[in-house]
Amino acid sequence: MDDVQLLKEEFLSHGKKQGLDESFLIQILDYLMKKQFFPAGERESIRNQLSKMISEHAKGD
Amino acid sequence: MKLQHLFLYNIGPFRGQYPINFQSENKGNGYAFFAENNRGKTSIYNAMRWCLFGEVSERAKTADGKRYEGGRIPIVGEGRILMNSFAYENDKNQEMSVVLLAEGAKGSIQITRTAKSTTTLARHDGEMAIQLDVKIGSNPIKHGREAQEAIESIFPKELERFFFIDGEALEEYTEMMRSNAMKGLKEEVNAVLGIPALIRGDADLTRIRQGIKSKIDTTVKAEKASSKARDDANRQKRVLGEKIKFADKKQSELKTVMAKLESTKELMMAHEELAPIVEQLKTLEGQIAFIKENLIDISKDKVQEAKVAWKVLLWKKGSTQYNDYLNQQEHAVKREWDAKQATDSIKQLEKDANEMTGICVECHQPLPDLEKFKQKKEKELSEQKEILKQHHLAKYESTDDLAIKIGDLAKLKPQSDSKERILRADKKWKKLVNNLETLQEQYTSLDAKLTEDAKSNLVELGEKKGRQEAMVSRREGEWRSANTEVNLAELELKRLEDKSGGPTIDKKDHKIDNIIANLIVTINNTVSSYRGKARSQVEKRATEVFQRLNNAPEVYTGVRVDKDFKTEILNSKGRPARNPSSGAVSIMTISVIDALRHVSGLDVPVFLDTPGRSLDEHHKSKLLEYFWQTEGQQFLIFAHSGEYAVDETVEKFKGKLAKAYTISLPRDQKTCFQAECRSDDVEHDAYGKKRTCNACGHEWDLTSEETLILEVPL
Repeated sequence: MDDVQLLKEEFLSHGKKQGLDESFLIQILDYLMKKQFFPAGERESIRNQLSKMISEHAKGD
Repeated sequence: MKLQHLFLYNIGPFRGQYPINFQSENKGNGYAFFAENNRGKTSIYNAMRWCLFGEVSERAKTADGKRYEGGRIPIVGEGRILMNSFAYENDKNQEMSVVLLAEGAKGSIQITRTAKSTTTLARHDGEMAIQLDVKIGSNPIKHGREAQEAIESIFPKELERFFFIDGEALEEYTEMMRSNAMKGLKEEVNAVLGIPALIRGDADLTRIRQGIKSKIDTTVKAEKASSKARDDANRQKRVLGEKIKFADKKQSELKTVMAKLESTKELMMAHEELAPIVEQLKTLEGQIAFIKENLIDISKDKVQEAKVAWKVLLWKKGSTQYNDYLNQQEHAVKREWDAKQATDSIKQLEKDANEMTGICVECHQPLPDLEKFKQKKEKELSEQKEILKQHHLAKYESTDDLAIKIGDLAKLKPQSDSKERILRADKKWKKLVNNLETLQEQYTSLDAKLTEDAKSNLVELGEKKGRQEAMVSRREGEWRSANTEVNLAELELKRLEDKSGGPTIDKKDHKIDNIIANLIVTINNTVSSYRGKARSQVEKRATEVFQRLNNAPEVYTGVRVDKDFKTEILNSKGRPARNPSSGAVSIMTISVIDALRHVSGLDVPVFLDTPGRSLDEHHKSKLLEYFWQTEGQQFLIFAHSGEYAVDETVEKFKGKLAKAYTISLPRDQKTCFQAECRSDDVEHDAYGKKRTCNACGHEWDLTSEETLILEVPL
């Protein structure tokens, strides 16, 4: 568990350096973690959802 | 996530329903299934794998550092199968199912996977219908793919190796961890560290970005095209302005000449009373001119026709002579014919006289009066000779001479209609001349009514009007042409304006592109830094576990995990140990697996099949000491009697064991296995192949193949 936290911390740290919002980064990472075992050929819906999340973020930013 | 219940039905050696309750009043996370070989330990282990993932594979094999995946164990068919063999061979409808209930931070989950035959006897898995139902908390039941996704969000299939640990495969794990050929395990290490989330996320974001970039590029191109169209439209506006100006100028010119024409017409109105005369004179002039032109043509015709008039006049006299010659020719022909006839008759009569035989030449009868006949013939001869004589005496022109004369005269003969044509042409000419004279008289008469001034004015005005009308017509043409140019320029302007209304660059797309680019950079930087830190965490945790399990802490001090997650045991000097014992290597492997599982944050029970296979007594004991705790993740072992003695193990780990079971056949039971009895006062009937408990009277058949899962009292 600690190390999932470590991954999250690393991700947040690097993401913030890129000027990205923490809650948005958490949202993206959680989603990617949740869907990480979907093989490459079955990720169309995942990409759609990611696009949606990014668009929403861009809208509200 | 903790297991609560497991229900097996017709799987492995378990014929019928077998409920296993994992709930316990005891403290401890340890669970144990003890059995001799071939009693069903691995079947329970596999039943859970099948329930979670829908398939169970044979053990993988490793050779020369390469891993070869084991084949899939079929549900039904020949050889080793998952379904209970008795049920498969004897049941009318083959069915196998596993139900798993668990409870965790995300709430309860109930997984039901059933395989039913679709035929009377399914020969292969293709003839089995698989049904999967998953219920999480109070949510609606999920089926099929959605259900599988729900399961794998808790029990990731890719991390199966880290919670379904096969003791018999520890050597394979070890081989892969120590080998340079790390391909297989490297992927799993990545997976367990959550790196697929980043790597696949990176690929997903890159692909999304490509789409956005492509959209931006297309928009930029369209924007460029529309910008060019806007410039063109502005130019076209100027062109249109010039054309409108030109058309206006032409319209103005037209108006001017029309005004002049109107003025001329008004002037002409002043001489209105003379206008009809002038008009008539104009008409007459036109008619006279027309007739004069016609008269020239008609005169030519008349002259042409008159060329044969001499023939007509000559023939008036010559025709009588011509006809006379024709009559003479006719008579001459007749006379010549008659003379010839007479000559021929004379010749015949003379011949008849010379050849007379007294027999009639016609009827071939003897002539009754030959003399009379002779006289008759002589008379005829004399008549013919007279005719011929008269013919010779008469003076007549020969037919040849007459033919020459007729031919000469025929050259002078006009065509039969020559005369009529000459007369007709003459008549036509005379008529036209008459008409012309009449019109000229009318013209002279009308012309006399006009004074010279009036005539001059009117003529001048008429000519002016004519010129002005021609000018109006010309100006109208120019104006129309200018208007057409304006219309065309307007159409072109509209087209360019439509084109210039294309998309404009959406700032939002740029923003999204920028966010994705930042996310990609974030992911790449995270992967680089996180792997190093995670490696360090794994090494630290593995060393801790290793130190706790290792029986020679003075020799082996820890575990090193390099950047590729290749592992080595360290000696007391902190260097890689040379030829560590196989037990130490197995412990290192278990330590690294546990460390990786721990780092992954997997909150699932750990299933360890044949855990002590490659461990000595000390390590086996240490293993359980480490993994079985008073709390924490459930740790289930599936051990055979050679690995762990049931009573001894239960006694030793009582405080850490939640539940313990034995799996056996009735013939394995030498004491009463009724839960409330457990008496060892049992009578064995070798002949009857049964045992009977003298305490409770329970009797069991030693030939029965009905597997028993018995809870061990703790």
